[in-house]
Amino acid sequence: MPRIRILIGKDGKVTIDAEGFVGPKCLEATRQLEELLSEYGIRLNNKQVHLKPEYHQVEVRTHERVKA
Amino acid sequence: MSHWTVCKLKIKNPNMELLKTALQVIAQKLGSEVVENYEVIGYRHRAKCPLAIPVKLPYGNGYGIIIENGEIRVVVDDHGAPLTAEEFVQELTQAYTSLAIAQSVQQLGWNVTNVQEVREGVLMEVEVYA
Repeated sequence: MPRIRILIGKDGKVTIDAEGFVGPKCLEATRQLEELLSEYGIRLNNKQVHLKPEYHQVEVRTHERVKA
Repeated sequence: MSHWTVCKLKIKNPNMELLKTALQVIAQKLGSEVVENYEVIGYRHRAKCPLAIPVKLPYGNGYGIIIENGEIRVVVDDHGAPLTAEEFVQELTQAYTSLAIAQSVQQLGWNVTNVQEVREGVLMEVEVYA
């Protein structure tokens, strides 16, 4: 299950750590969260993104044929 | 010496219900409550505030919130106060941001699995349903 850990610092600084995502889905999830937060008046400025090795992985889907 | 202090938050155009809830978190810690349309006084200053937390202070009567052009300001005569204006701003920013994240996560259909206070702040763990 993909998960994110969000640290809200004492100065209001938000640090988001995404785990269990494959490929760029982690960026999509954090973008969705960022968009909603902006509706509450919170803008994540000075954004720094550190990509983990999983970001460069490709999701592999396997399709098995079931014999009738 | 007394200190009438006005301190600005980084949050702009806040959700008023959420702001009030965040203030309630702080009010509870201070053994007070959130009131509306309160005049905050301090040494040679006073300000009408739509939201405030009354606290008996050496030169003042509490912490007030002023919102102008979407910007939030905290006003207080913080001499001898349990929280300085800057500490109050930090606590309010943290409480409001935590509540906004919790609501956003819910809106996205995700699930907050754990919230804990750590040395650096508040840590939230969220399961994401992509």
